[in-house]
Amino acid sequence: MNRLVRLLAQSGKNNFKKYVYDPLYNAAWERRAADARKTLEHLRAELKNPAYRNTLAPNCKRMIGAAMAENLAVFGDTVLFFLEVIQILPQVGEAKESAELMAILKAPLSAWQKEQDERSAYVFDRELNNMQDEQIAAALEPIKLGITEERARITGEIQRLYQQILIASRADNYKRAGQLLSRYMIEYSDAEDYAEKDVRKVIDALKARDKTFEDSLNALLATDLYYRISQGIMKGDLRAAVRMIRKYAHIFEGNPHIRYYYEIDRLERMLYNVITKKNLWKFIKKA
Amino acid sequence: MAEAQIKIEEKIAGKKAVLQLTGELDAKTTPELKARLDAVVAAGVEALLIDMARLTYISSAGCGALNATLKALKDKGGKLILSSLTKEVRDTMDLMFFTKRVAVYTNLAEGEKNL
Repeated sequence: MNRLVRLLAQSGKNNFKKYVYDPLYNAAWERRAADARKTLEHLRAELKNPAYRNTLAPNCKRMIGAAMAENLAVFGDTVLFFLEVIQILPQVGEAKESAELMAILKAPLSAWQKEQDERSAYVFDRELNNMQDEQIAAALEPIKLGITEERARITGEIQRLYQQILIASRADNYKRAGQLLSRYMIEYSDAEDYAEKDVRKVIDALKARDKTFEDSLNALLATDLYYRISQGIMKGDLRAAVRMIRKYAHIFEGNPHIRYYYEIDRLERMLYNVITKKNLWKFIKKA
Repeated sequence: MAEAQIKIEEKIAGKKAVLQLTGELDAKTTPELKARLDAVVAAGVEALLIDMARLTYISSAGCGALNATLKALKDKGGKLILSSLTKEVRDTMDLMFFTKRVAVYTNLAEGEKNL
């Protein structure tokens, strides 16, 4: 939900008001203004102290309520902060205020997401048709490690990241291992030096200790990729969007149980249609 | 746009099987093919030829289902081969690097000869 709200915030003030502020306002979350920005700073500091964890969720709710009476900018920051804390601290995630926030925002966010998918598909198709042939080819090109320095840099980065994943997995730090794996897979799954078999081994080892690990990792990866695709489309960075579609396809290989399976399949078809229409297949394969 | 459809014709003879696909393979139709492929592998088939003469579109979802079957067959010491790829299908498969992993024959007869 965090990423979705962030994406929504980027889409404009009116959307944010309609899909986040109004539902919370209608659920009577608004309170008297009480310098929510200052409260936010306090709560950020309290995050580091385990003694305050029990009171974080009710305080976040109060802070959001106060921010509603102030302005949309601070309101957005407080909502994102609460969603972030829900993700980081299981104790906060289980609080009744967290469940309340999720329940209020669930329906409006899914309505916005549906609208956004339609809009994204439309913009994607339009922009893709306007892209230069070379731009499409470059966007579909896998990482090529031709130049010695570049090869050494990426190989070094791959090895460093992989070592960090091993350390996190040995320490049973599933969250950190998941984040690192996600970063590694998104960045390098289409690179020549990508250690696919080693990644599989790490995932299997973590899965043996925590059955939900792979599902959580896939959800994290899919959400991250979908977020980057949507962001790319929204910002007019089609190159990034196309690259991420390509990476989604490469990582998940058509697994229908992965999030955003249908949405991304639709964008993929649009991409191939444009490549065919512009007669770019030969050009892309050469690249 | 009309919804994609897939028709799968299947011939199994012992440990060998030939599947002929007609239509399009995208997110909607791939689960049907995947179920059929799983059933074929579960039935003990070790050498599988998929003829794509009448397949007009394939997305990464379709390539993914084929890849999973390829891995399952390889684990059993078997093989997956393809024949009669249309230009559209070949292009997408090249982009997904799938054609690097399997043998591709120009027509059904060639494929059957090498099964």
